[in-house]
Amino acid sequence: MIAPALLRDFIVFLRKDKLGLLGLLLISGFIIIGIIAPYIVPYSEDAWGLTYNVERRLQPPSRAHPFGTDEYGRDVLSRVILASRFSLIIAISVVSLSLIIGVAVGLVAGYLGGWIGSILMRVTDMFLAFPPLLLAIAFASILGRGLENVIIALSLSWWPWYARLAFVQVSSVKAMPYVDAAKIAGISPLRILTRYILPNSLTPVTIQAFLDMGAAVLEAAALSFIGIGVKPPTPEWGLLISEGWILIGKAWWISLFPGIALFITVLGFNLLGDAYREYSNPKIRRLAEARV
Amino acid sequence: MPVSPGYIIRRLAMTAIVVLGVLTIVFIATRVIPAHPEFLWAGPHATEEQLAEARRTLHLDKPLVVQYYYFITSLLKGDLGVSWRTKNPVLEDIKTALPATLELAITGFLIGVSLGLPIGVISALRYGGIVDRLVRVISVSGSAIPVFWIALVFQLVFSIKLGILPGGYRIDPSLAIAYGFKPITGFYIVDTLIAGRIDLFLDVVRRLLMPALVVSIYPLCLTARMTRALALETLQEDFIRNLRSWGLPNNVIARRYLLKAVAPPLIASLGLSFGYTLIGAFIIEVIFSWNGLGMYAVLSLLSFDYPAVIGSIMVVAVFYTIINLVVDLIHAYVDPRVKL
Amino acid sequence: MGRSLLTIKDLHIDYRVRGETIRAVRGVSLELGFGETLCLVGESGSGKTTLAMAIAGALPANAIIRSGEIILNNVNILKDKEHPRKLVSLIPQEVGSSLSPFHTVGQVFLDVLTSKGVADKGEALKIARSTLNLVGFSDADRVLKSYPHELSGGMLQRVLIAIAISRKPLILIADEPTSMIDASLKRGVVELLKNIVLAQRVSMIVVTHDIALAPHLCGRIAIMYSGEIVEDGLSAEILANPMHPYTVMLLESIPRILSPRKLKAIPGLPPDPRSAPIGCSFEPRCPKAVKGLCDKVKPPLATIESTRRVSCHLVKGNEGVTLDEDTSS
Repeated sequence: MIAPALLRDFIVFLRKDKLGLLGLLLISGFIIIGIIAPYIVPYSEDAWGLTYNVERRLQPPSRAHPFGTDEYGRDVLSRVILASRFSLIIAISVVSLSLIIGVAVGLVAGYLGGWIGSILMRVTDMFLAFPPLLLAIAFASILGRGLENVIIALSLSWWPWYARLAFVQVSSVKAMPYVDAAKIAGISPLRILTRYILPNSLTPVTIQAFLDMGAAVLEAAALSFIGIGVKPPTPEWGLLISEGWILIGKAWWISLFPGIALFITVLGFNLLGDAYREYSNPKIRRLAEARV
Repeated sequence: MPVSPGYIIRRLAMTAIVVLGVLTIVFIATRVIPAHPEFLWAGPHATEEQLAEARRTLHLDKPLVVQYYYFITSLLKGDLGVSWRTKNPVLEDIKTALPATLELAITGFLIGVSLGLPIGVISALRYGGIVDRLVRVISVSGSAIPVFWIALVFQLVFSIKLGILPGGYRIDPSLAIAYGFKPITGFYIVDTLIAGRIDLFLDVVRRLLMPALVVSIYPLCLTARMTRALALETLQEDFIRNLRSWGLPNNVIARRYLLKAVAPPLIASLGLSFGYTLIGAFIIEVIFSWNGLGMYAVLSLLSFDYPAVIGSIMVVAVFYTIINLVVDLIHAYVDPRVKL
Repeated sequence: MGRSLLTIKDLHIDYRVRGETIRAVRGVSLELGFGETLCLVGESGSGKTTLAMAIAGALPANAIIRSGEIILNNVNILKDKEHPRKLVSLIPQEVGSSLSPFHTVGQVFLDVLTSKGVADKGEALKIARSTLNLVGFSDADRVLKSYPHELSGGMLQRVLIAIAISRKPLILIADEPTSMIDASLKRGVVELLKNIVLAQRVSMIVVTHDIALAPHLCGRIAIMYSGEIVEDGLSAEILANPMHPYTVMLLESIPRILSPRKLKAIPGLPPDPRSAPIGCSFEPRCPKAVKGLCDKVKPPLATIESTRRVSCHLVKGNEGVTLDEDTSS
């Protein structure tokens, strides 16, 4: 469904944008670490939260524990590393789920148009009338804590964005002269949909969704921090930060390092997203190309 | 560029419909989806008779449409239920808490936007230079910083380690009691001035400083980024080139033409960025023990006080919708191309 | 020619686009005297607009002036940091996007006229009114209060002309003044510009791709191809006796309504602006090109008689190059 030409073009552009490349690097790091996390944690049981070692409690960073230990004597470094995996799971799930729902709604609304489209878009607008994250908080509070509930709550609050994006894309592509030409040529509507409309309209939405993964990680962390996200002892950066909150004066390391990890991950997505924004804006892109 | 009354009326009608839609969504989420809404309403420690009372209040024995009717009418009467945590009507609690949040959020937002705007413009005028690249990095990083984490870091550094700024609360409790301080508007900055107590005023300002700065990070970075992008686009427009060729100096072009061109699209996105800022302020309240709506909502969340939670969410959602309406009107006023 | 108002010596201007360098102006030299009118004629990509923008101080950010001199009123404006924009006024081609949508015509006039302390508000208003009347507006105040989107294309063009001449420049630069408007209005613009040149005693450079326009508007024509001047001289003389093969073919491709003949197009395409060909840049499309000479050696821009310059190996003395097909003069 993704037009490969656009991707290739973007990669060429990226070669000259150092910040965008850095973003790509950070994202790759996040994904790789997230995948291999269980195999690289120094203290595996600590990471999963299965231990309670009174002697090792609240130790500052040392050679044995580079990020120190927390209230239960667990190695913070291991917890931080494993948390990346859960963030990765959440990010991919939320983005995929909301993409599927949103694109389905936006596609139908944009392709069919008329009053069906209007109603679908009006409903979407109702959802968009909520400030960001508020809907997620509402859903999360009703569903309760837990990994799956976080994913559901976030997806339910995210799909309207993609619905609107997809709707705008499909509407504008549908109005393009080449679609009319295809219709006149007698190409079947299904073929028009799959060969012409979908690839051209869904590519920007999909790219946006990928870049949004950083925001998903951040929002899930916020929910976990407040206490309506992931259930302890599951390691999640937001949850880890809140665990260290009460002890911030005595054991600053418990909150600090998960926060740094969270920041670097989101930063990666933001840097790449910013590069993509410069790339897709023809006026600014011209300036960038003139400079190099 | 007067705004025609017809436009205002149309937008108001649209807003009313959207608000209705928002409330309907909340209704569906809290009454239709859960299997036993009375548990949510009465709280986890409810007795059997409290549950029965809840069932009656929510009209759970009646058809959904009737429930919806009661839902909307009681909202219009201002009845958001009673918080079983504070034992107050939810609306009262919210009315007390809201000014604190607004004071924090608006101050932070204003600081962020008023700093972000010139930074973005200067960055665009010096495209490719060191200043520009620095601004780009900082503004992109700034919007990646988790708001709850940086608030903790600020608190750790400035309050605990360095001890130069107070770590929480809007006003020194002992001072407030000593002077018999009574909030009138709820905005302590205003109230302390009204009471004529300069030392209280300074105390309030000192306590507002750190949380407001943390709140301002996001709008500052977003505004700087948007302004820079818009300014870069505008600088390539024909009319800028023409004005330059007709002899207008750079600072006149920047001040009068660049800003005017950048303002409408910037204002259009102001509503959304304020939304993010507001939610950020909620979380920051929790960390700085700031008695605003965010603190109230989170405490209610953690104690499963659903009337309070749902009430807060509805109030915030409606408030946000109105903010967007105001922003739209300002945008229409500022941009002469918008047909009214 | 008299004392020269504008002298350009061996100017080279490049653009950087997508990381590549495009050579838009390749060694142009010309002179413009007081009160003279010159038409820069050429197809898209000939460099005529770039050259004009360089004189007007309106080059885009990705343009680089590699070498050469532009001497305006005895001041080398490339040496100074600031282009003395006071002396040159641009009348832009794109009328719709030429003014800020957020400001009224009057505000633009005020800013333009009061910048650098040229005039104060009261004087500026008076000047604005009188120039608007000059370009044909009977209700100047209404125009001053209008936003650009409230005015038609023709009106906007006249507003642009008014702004340009209100600055009392020494040189007016009109970028494609007739290409964006309807045929019925073309004559009006031409007449207006001619009257302005006479009344205000300005010099004027007109950029156009339409060689048929040139004699109506300008005393001299300079024909540009691929970043260079291939022929220039007095309008009447060039039309009567074109010398460069490109000029000849340009004149021949003008459709004739009254005595129709076969339409003649110039075959081929202009050379790639990224490369620097060795010989004559027109050689690939020239029917009279001499292999071994035209493709290996660049013809210099030679002065033929006192008023004509041609850049072609095959032009000797007074005669132009004749082409094999029927040439009607």
